[in-house]
Amino acid sequence: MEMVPKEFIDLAHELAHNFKTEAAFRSAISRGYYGLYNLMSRFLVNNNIALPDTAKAHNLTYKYLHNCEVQDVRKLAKILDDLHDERNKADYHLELTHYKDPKVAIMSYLRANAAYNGFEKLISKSSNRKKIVKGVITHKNKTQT
Amino acid sequence: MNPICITRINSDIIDDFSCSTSDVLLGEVEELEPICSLPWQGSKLSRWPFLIAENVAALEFEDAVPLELAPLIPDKRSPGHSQILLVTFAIPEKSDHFFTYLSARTTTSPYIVVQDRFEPSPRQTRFSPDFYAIKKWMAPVIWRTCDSLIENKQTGQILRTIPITISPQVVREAEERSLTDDLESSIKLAQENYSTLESIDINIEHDPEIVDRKTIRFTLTVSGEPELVLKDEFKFKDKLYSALDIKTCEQITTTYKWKS
Repeated sequence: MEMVPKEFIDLAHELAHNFKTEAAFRSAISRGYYGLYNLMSRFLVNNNIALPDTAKAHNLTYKYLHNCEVQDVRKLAKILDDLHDERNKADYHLELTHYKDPKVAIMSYLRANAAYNGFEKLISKSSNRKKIVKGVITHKNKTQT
Repeated sequence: MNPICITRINSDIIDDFSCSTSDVLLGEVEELEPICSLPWQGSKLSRWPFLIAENVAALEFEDAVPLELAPLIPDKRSPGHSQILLVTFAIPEKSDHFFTYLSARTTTSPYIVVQDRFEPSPRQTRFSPDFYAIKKWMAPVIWRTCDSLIENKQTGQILRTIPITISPQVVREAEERSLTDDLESSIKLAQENYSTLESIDINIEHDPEIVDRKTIRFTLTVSGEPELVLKDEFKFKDKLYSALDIKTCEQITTTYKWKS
């Protein structure tokens, strides 16, 4: 059976709350982001909206959902973008000292978890799924012309 | 050379002077080197390079960075209507090139500019003043700040100000992308919606994995529990998405630090 992205979010919770090292806190930020990213990007792919096998897929997932005209999805997509930015910092900028603070990791987890649950709830309804997909395709067509 | 610190009054600076009252010091400075006023139209961030003035090399000022923000304090001359904001600027790699901007603003956010002054004047800041001279013109300003703070402590009024630091690159980007007004609105919304906000830093963020992608990054220093900050974030985002268009929201990212 395939792993569900929620497991990354759960691991983020574990790392942020039960470990006491900066490496764990930084990893919590990264796992939280990937949990949310996988949920959102897989939703797009499963609905025949192609994403490239490159780092661009991260930005495209955000942009497609942010421009899908469904207001609630926009805000959740914005959290994805915020967390992507945070993950870049946590993974690449070891000189930044504020990641020693567990609150930064807990905040990242909370954001990822809230956005994950929100998006999952939205796409559980068929009417919402259709609206989102339609919005993404419209945006995609507009930007391609 | 260390930057002059306005928010934490340094007794060493004041001790250098034999005069004991601000009025005497102010009179002395004004008599020697009259402070000139610079007209600064509007309160737009895009005007921050207003420092590019008269005899001063534009390129030098473009790199100026704010070092310290003093508390916003009531202006004695028009109580209740305006406050004084002090900002010390520095030019990187030229440690002796720093100067202060003095601004009277309205008492409530977004602190519209009533009057601005640049001290010392562009004529004076051909940037050869030695440290003693700089301290000399800073002194009356520091004294006035001190006086007002003491006065407010006596009345029991608690002054709370949120320092905002905006990188020069953000100012440029905002201008190029016509986002200056939106940026001001975003700052105002952040101030209004985060209950434990301590400071705001705004920078340009380059994506290390995607070439040419850059965003305007709000780093909010907060002091509340993460659960509370998350609630505040949702309020902030709701207001942001109501106030700004979608393309602008797309370019702004938010991240957090905790006050240590």
